[in-house]
Amino acid sequence: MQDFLFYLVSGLCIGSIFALVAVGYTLVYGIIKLVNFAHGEFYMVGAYASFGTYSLLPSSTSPWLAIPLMVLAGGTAGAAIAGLTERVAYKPIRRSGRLAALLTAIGVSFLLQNLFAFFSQARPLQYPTEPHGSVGEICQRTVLLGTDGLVLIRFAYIGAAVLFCALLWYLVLRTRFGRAMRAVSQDADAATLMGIDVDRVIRHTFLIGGGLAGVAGTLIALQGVTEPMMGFLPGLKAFVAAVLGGIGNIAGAVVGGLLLGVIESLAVWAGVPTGYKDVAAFVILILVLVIRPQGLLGRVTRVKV
Amino acid sequence: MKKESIRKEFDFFFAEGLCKSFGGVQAVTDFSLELASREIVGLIGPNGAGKTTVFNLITGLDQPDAGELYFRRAYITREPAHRIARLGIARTFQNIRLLGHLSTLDNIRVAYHSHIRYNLFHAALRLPRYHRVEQDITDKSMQFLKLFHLERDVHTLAGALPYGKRRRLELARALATGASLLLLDEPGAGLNPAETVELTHLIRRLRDEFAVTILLIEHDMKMVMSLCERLVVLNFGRIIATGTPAELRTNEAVLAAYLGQPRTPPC
Repeated sequence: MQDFLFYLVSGLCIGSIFALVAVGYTLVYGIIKLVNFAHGEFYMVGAYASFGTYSLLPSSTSPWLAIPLMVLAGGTAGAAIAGLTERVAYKPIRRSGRLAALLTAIGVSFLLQNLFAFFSQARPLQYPTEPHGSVGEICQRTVLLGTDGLVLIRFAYIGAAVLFCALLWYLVLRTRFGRAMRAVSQDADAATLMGIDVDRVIRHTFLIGGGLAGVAGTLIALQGVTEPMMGFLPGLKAFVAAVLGGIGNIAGAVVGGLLLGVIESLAVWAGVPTGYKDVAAFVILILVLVIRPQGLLGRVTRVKV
Repeated sequence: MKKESIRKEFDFFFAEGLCKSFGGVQAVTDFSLELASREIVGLIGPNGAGKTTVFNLITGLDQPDAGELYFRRAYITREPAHRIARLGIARTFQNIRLLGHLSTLDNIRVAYHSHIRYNLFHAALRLPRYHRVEQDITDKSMQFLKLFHLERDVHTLAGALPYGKRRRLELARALATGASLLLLDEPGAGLNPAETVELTHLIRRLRDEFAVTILLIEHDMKMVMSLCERLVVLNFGRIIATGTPAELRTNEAVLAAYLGQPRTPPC
């Protein structure tokens, strides 16, 4: 039973990361109906940016200052690469149909993976765990949950997800920009005739989605590795999470992300070999598409962005 | 701005030589139109004459292949649609295009978008300015809803409103953008005779109280004849006649376009 608790909490933690990434997926989909397969790469770029920031900081910097700075850098870099991608790759083909956009997204994904593989010589980066009290060491500290040790930093995932989702909820439902976003997602032409600058709304949507992905990538890399392919699987799973919750629906993406994390984790608890836990995500994708294609919250909630 | 000196009398709005083709189809050819402030002008013609295309060209949803547009002394040809909207041209659609998942009130508040002056920084910190502006927007939006008798449906989703109310909401939304030129694409479509009469009064009232200029496409000849001060008749993308309703009643070209051959007036 204590085992169960461990897997449940662990699943919630990783689910929070899926949620952060899935929200960006769903925002972009809601606005321009693009399944942005390069979204996982924004996550990867965020992780690299935070590693770069870590290397630039003097080694005497307190980790309690360094970590927030790294998260900030990761988020900024994620937003920047998302904004750049939108400007260079997606905007010119916006009126060329959804298939062209989808293929471009896959192309951007490969391009970013390979660029980073080239420049980093494909060597995975890890934060050094020496000396005691350094960023790497703090992020490896664990707390005993039942019989297993859960890495402490994972609790920060939940915190980050709660914080950013609350901010986003506020932004979408309570501000002028949020209203503009909702308007554009429903009818871009009508919105433009209301004086809404649709291009600007799309750009900012990418910035927000990319920023959240960058933060998620940074948090994961703190206790794992930073490498060019790291965004691929989380990107796919976030897509599954977004579909599970009802793509285009923000609350759905959060619920879908958390649920996916928990299901994956409990699958391992139930005896699925760890190596096969990814299968769980994709089985869910297939089941959702067959049984409830609109997703869990596809029709229920009013807030569609 | 270059033609300003020559065409001073039409400093409110004028279009000159607009052309637009889609593939091989010439939808609009050499369309010119001048509007004076506070006029109500009807744009009529048989189906497929290019009326809606003209609206798309004026509002910037489509770019003309040739021709120029001026609005309140500004050159607006090829300006992005949202900027034209902010300059003060708003429209309604033949098939109503409200934001169905937003409430009635939010539809109006979105229209207020271009007037709002606070940024995300203010909103995030919940500075007093944000509250003041939001309150102001809500108050003003409520006034518009009252004017159009929609005040009881404030929190209803726009998509759930009955047809007649959706028509009115779309009109209210166009007005709430602060526009001084309203383009109404078949505002009377689908309304019963009583509602059409009501709409005619409402449109005239909007012109009188808000000093807006109105250009409307309409098939209901009774409404057109009683409401419009001037008519422009399109057929196959070209203007075939202009004049007052009385003058056009007996215009042979107009009758031919509508009926195929000269006959007694349509109404």
